[in-house]
Amino acid sequence: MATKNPQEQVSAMVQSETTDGSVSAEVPQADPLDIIDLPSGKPLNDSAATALSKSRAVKWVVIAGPVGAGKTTLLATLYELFQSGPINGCRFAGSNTLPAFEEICHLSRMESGNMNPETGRTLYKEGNPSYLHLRLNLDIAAGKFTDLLFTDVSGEMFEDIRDSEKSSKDLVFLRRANYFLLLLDGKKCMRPDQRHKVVQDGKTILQACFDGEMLSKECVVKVVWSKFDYFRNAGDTQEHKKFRQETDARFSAAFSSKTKDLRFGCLASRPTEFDLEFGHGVNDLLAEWVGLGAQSDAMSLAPQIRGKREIELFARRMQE
Amino acid sequence: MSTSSSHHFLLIGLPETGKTSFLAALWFMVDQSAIDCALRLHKLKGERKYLNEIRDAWLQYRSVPRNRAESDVAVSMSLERRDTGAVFDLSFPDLAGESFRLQWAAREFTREYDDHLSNSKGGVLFIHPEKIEKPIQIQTVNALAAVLDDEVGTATQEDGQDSAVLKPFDIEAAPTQVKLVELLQFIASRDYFSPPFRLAVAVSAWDLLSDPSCTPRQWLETRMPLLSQFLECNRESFEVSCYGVSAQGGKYASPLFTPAHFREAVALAQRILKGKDAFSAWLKERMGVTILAEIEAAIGVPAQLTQLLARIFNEIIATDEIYQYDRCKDIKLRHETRNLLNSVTQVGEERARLNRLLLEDAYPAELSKEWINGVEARELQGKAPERRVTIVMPDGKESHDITEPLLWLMH
Repeated sequence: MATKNPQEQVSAMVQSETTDGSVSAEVPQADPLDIIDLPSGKPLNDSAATALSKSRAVKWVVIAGPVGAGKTTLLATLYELFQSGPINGCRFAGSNTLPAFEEICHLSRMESGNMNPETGRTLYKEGNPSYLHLRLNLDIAAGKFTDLLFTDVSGEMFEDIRDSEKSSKDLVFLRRANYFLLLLDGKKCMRPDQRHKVVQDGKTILQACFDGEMLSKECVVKVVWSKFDYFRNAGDTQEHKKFRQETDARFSAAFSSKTKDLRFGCLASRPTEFDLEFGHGVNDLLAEWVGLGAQSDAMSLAPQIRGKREIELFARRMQE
Repeated sequence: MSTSSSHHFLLIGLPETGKTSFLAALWFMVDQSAIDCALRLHKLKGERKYLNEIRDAWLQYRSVPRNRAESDVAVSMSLERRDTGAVFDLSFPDLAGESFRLQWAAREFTREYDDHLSNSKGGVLFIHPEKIEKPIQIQTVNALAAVLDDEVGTATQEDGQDSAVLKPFDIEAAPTQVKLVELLQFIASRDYFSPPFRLAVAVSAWDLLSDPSCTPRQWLETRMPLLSQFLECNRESFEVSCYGVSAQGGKYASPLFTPAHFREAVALAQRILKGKDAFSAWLKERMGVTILAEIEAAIGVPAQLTQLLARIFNEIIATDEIYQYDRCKDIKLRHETRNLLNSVTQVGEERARLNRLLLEDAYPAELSKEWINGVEARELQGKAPERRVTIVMPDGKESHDITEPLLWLMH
């Protein structure tokens, strides 16, 4: 934090005083007619996002998952990583939603007064989501820019679509998604009584999106174990690995025919222990979002499906 | 006869980043025929009161009066290039840092700024290395704590959450580099924006950097990575050249007290509490019952007493008009104090300086006459004004010509 030097302290002290000794308002009010409003920098609503997409090519990234799965934390971490420098050669080139990014980072910064990093919960709003925007550059010489629009959606909205076809049909924004990222909460999976529900909830969300014909076949779908650090902290045992492999296999079996590109991965946006780097897995996601990974490479990201159980054999056939 | 052309530039920067000091030094330098400066004053024209005021403060080693949002000043100079004789008008509004702060926080700017912007082909973006707000992540702090002491780290995480007092999100607390990116995005978003907009990035107070061996561009890359990335990616919109700027030349002496300045704190406290002489009687009355009780209670605890006195005296020198004949008639004033007393208008920082001198004269045995940055300030006063300015060029070479960034803008 910058501190005032002694000279400035005097200046600040003497300037905060008016001739009558009272403390003045910081700045006199200007005539409203002389004021020009600037963009708010808040999350973009649907029409603003659409307008942006008409002015330049954008990639729509939907980040899905139940409440607390780490959707907003992922975005906050991505933004914080750019504060320190380029990510794998990908540079920050601008954003229409800087204040919105700042706000989602607030509870993870010292100035919040918090002792442990957190992310504020995205408020549940019916209807269309709002979006956060990042403009990135992969190749300065070629002027190769990518504009990413990320959904900023409450987990409740995705929880609703588990239960109702109508809810999934309401999510029209899904139709334009180029990339659908489904987060499975790794922390909850530490509890044996929770883990199968986590998987089932994720599957249902994805199933509902496909059955409601809300996701196109061209949309890349990636299923990610968020809060992967919890697996690591628990030793990432054979049982954990088997559980993840079987889950991935189930997803492959269920959805490989519905999308051209189904991927799997791990993510620890904000690891609780420090043997994993801050934003573990974020740079891989970013590379995919900006199109660094070619399609053939991307498919190889899917885990090798082994085993002789019926579901695994089916999944392997689908993958082949 | 040379033909005259016009150049309009913006001076961009958050509060206290050195814009006005730069302007003050520039106004001095272009008016010195003996100084090796690429631009010189062609003729005096227009309103110069503001320029003269800030130049005078700069020459007297005083903080240049900070420009505030209510006092945006349009500055114009008729200058001549020494090499070609080309004459041109150089104009830039000395917009208050406050108005740039409001652009980020209140999401608005004035039509006047918009007019200036529409006429400007470029600008100087000022960044003060000591005024940078950086995002500090709790994650990073906890990790460091864990490295230093595992047990302490764990205790912090486990015990701290309950006692944490959460502050609401404050847009003003955003990192400096984020704010600057937004200011530039605002510029680029105007309908009339005609790229490339030439941007001289001036890292001010360069002489105060801990590692002045790096080039200004390297400094920008390492200290403001987000801004650096933004500028690199948007070369077509912003043509950038980075400079290190030392317009002040060193630190100015500050009249503020520190606890160490109270050489005889107990004796001073007792003089005030007794209030026998006219000056001490006034101070006693000025402080009031509550503060006097605090002083009395602190007499037995030297560290507490000096801290308390420093706080009270600093408030007094910043806000009061101490000098009145009746209360000061028994004080033997130094020559320096009398000089200042005869010349100051008793406003702002001048008043604070005078007040400090008066207090020192009133309590010569109790108070130190050594000011904060006093040694550095005396060294600075030994320099010729034109040697106070140092410009570190993009290639790292040094120059004393403050017009270098402007020459690049005009090129």
